[in-house]
Amino acid sequence: MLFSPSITRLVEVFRRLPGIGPKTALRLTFFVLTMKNEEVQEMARALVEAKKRVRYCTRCRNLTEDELCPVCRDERRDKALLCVVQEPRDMMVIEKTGQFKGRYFILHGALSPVEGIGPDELMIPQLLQLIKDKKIEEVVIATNPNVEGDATAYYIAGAAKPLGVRVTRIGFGLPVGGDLEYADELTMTRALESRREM
Amino acid sequence: MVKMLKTRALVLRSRPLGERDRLLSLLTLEQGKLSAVAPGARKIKSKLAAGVDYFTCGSFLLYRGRSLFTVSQLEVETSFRNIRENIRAYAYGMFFAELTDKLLQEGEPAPEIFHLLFNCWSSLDENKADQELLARFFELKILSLLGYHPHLKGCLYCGSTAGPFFWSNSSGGIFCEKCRPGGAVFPFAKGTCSLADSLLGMAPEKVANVRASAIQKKELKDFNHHFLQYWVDVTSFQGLSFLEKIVNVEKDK
Ligand SMILES: [Zn+2]
Ligand SMILES: [Zn+2]
Repeated sequence: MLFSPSITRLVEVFRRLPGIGPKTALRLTFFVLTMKNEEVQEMARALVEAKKRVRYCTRCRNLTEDELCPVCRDERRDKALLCVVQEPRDMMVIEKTGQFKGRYFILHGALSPVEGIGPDELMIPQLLQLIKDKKIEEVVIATNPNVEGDATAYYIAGAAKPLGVRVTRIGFGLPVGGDLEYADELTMTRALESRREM
Repeated sequence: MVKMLKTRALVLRSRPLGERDRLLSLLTLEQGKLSAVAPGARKIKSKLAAGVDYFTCGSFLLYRGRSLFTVSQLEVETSFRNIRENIRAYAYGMFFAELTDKLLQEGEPAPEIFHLLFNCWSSLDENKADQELLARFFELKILSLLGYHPHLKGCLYCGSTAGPFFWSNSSGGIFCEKCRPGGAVFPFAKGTCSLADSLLGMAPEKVANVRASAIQKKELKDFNHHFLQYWVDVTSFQGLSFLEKIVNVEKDK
């Protein structure tokens, strides 16, 4: 074996992270070994603490350390407007534009037969209940502009419309394909402004 | 070896690769199944983004690297836009892609399977045929094209065409009650057997004219999956369990 067991183990741990190949994992491992003791300990503590404290907001499934996330607690938000996104990162992209005044619902994925992700895994029943209970008037769907995002949007629209709610989808300026998290603020602002009825 | 490959291809699978790229499983017309990286395709302004999604048929210019192909240019021919608007069509279309991806070996030309998948996606897009029967048609055809053509025209041993029949995976055909060997355990009503046989001989656009009862459809599905299971682990198919979930949700409504 080329490296000691501890090094090999650390490389393997890094490799579990998305987008990290063997070379990068090795580079990160060597870097960690050059760090100060306190820094490494702080890093380890931050990982454990975050995992222990962070959970889903009971209303919108955003990541939070409390029962409700800051957006759901904010009383100035438009209570009748709800934006559905795939990932917390997508919500951050929309928040950055400052254009959206409503609240969110985070699916943590998209309907995907190959990954075995169905409506229940995305908590779509909880979303529909939220629409009913909180008297939502408009649901803005901001899933990714690709096949899985589209199928998810149409599925939610089909299930939500019978509840008497207006369902729109963000559109203009977003090309087909690609991931929403990479949209810049201007593109996202235009997309929000030009949402269309589903 | 030729470094560049220009070919029509269908996207069988598309998944994120790192922060920027997508890894595709393509069914090309010339070279069968192959894996290709679409660099930068996750970026929202990427020129490749629109063509590296499921349900794409396009003209791809691929560059052969050491282990993988890289997509250098592509032109979308059609992206079957209606499929994604209907959750069942979407689920069936993905199942067809998953089945093709799992059954095909890389680098073996399979032009008939390319046309089969293209035609079945088109049919879903036009929403003309019964989706369940289209799925059974697809399963039977792809197995037949791969060389596992089931013999359904009467008893393999005595030729009797009077049902009921018993299917044998190891013989790849049916037997009558009298000639039935020990392994042939799967019972097959005569009507369902001829339905399967006629689907096997049919052109894709004709599936729209086929009608079958709920019982026949159920029996045909059980038969197909029993037959498929012999060649590939059907129970590992996410697409199938997804379909069950969707169908159940719709029943509850
Ligand atoms: Zn919340
Ligand atoms: Zn016989």
